[in-house]
Amino acid sequence: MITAALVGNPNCGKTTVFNKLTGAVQKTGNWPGVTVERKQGFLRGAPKDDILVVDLPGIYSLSPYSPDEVVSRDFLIGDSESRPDVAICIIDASNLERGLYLLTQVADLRIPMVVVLNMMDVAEKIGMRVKADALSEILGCPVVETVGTKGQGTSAIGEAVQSAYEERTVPRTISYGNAIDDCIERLIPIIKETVRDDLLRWVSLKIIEGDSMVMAELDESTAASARSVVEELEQQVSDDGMQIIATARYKAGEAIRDGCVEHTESVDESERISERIDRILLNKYLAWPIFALVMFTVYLVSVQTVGLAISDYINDELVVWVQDHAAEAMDSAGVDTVVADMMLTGVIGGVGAVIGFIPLIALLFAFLVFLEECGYMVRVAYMLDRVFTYFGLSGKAIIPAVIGIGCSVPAIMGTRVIEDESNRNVSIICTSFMPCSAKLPIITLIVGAFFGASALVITSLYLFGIVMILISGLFLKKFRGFIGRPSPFVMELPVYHMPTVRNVMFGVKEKSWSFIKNAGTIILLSAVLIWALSSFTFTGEYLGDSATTDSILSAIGKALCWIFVPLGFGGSETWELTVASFTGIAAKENLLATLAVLLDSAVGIDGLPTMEVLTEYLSVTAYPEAVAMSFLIFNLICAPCIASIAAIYRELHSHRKLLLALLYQCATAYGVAGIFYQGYVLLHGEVGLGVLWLILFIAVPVYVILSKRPFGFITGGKEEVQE
Amino acid sequence: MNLATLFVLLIIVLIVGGAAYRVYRSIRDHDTCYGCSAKCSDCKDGNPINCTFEKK
Repeated sequence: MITAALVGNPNCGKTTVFNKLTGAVQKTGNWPGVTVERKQGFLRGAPKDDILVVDLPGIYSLSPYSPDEVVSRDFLIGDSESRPDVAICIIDASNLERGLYLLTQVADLRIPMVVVLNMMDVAEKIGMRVKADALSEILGCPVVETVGTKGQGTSAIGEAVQSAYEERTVPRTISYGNAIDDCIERLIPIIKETVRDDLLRWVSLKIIEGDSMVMAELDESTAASARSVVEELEQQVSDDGMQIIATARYKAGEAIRDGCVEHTESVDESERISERIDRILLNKYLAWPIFALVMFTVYLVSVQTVGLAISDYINDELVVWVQDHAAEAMDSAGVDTVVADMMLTGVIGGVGAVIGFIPLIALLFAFLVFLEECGYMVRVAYMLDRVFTYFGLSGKAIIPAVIGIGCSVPAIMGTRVIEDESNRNVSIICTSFMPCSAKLPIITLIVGAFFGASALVITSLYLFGIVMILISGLFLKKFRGFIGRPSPFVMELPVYHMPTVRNVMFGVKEKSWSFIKNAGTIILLSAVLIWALSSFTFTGEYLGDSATTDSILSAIGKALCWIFVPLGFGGSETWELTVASFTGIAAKENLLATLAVLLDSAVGIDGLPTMEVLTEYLSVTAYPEAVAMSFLIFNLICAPCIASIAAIYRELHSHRKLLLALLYQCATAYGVAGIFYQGYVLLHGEVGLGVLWLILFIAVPVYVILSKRPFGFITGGKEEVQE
Repeated sequence: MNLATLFVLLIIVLIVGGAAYRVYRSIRDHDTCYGCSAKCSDCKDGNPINCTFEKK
């Protein structure tokens, strides 16, 4: 079996080529950080031997800063037995110099190499003709031309890999000029005893660069001798080692480029159009209003108007029709009351709750996929980068925040693109503040019931997620263990293009089907379980309709509801919201299932937790809108679902850190929901004990944020102090 | 308990049992996110962005 590593810059189309080669359906995206860990698959139709293709996270160099870059470097270096047999170096042909900078480093590893010139169509559009034969001649290894998105040329990669493996076509040694080459010659004898033969040249270059990870591997005397040789080079060239090597690599890259590129007459019109569009969309004054308008339109169509109309039809007509007919049929057949109730309320109610929200999910993701595919989302990330950095967060924290609109689990894993551990920890903890697709139904329900399904309110809730991440950045950075430097976010703005209907439909199908599959089953089970707990007493007596006040669940809810008194939904008349908040921690979908079953009985109206049901249910409270919004805020930002909690644990690698993260999330949710509710009550002229809560909820974070000196914080198994 | 009740109960058991098995399988395979609709086993090594399949 041949192991081939796919290596290349971020956003050069590696994952697209990987999918074409292996038939996998890995997520691709037009921003860096889509791949944060290596993934592998067997090449389809391999010419001779089985070829295992390993897709590595995109990197700009082999001097890694973030964990995902370390994954790539470690795999390529490997050890003498486990390193890849062939490196497939993918270069964006339209951005040749940048790709060649990385290629020179991979070439120094002395692994048989195949170069894939991807995006040849884009290169031609901008007036470049890259001659693969000439490049192959210069590098001394096979070069394949591809257009990954169309699958052109990808079939030739397998044969090139096979031949590179059989003929051991290691690229020619790239010269970086006499001074550097002489320095390498002097370094090799010094490190020969401690470094593998195949890595001698590469390690020498890394020593000149002052690579901390390589230097740490050398013993003290070897490192000292090597450093003195490098110092001589630095004096000779009057520059520092890292700069010397970077300049030499760029010069080598330029020389290679000049030998294989022809410039044609053609000019890419789309790039000019993109520049013109960007002048408006990224305008200093217009960018933010346009972004708000775009998101408002997305929610206006997907949630407030079209989506809501379809959803209402399904909830009010279709599901009720099914329930009525099923009830009639079971009644006439003499089905036992308990079983019939379980079927109607638990099963049909649970399934209906899922189906009713599919139009919203599908429409929302149709818009989001369109915005990502056309190139606007990466521009949003660019806009937010400045804001995030201003708040002391890494600009790269935007990537998980945007992914988090879909699901918090991949978003939490996506924080690996952030180099600085302190900043990464802040992002891991705060990413789930973004409303995920499982929270969308509950947002729609409450905003629909009390705010006329206003798209403005729904857009505000997503912006609220971003604001909470930013405020958390300010807050957490006041604690030792979270103090770190914001790192720059290098990203390219791709040319705008019209997404294909196929791609958009594929994205919609993916999201909708995964919602039905994952959320649907959980909602159904929860609905049946909640029905059982709310229909029986501790002694096993069946209560029947509208008698849940004596049920097992009611007893639990009433015993715990005092916790939420400062938030407005802690009264015994709204114990259902307490139960829903707790079941929501297992999975956010449970909120809907719980309300679907409990509100049905509480209000005495058959059907789903429609907006009318919710409005009637909360009418017993003094401020129904404030209670509903407080409940929503609490559940949007409190501890996420079990799957996300597991992802947080995997990323933080510590039980203690996990506990602190969950505590922070729950306390933040409690505090913010409390500020909203008590503030609302105060504004309505009611002055009472709530004012004390309000002062407490505001004073604590303000004191921490304004504090000049950092607070102590235990972040792991032992106390860590990072400043 | 009449036949109709038994029949409805059977349907409930099948639906709930199917859902329970699906949830059990997703927990067992760490396939619990909404990132993609593909089975993790289809992704060979699993895609960390799209699912929570454990890496070896």
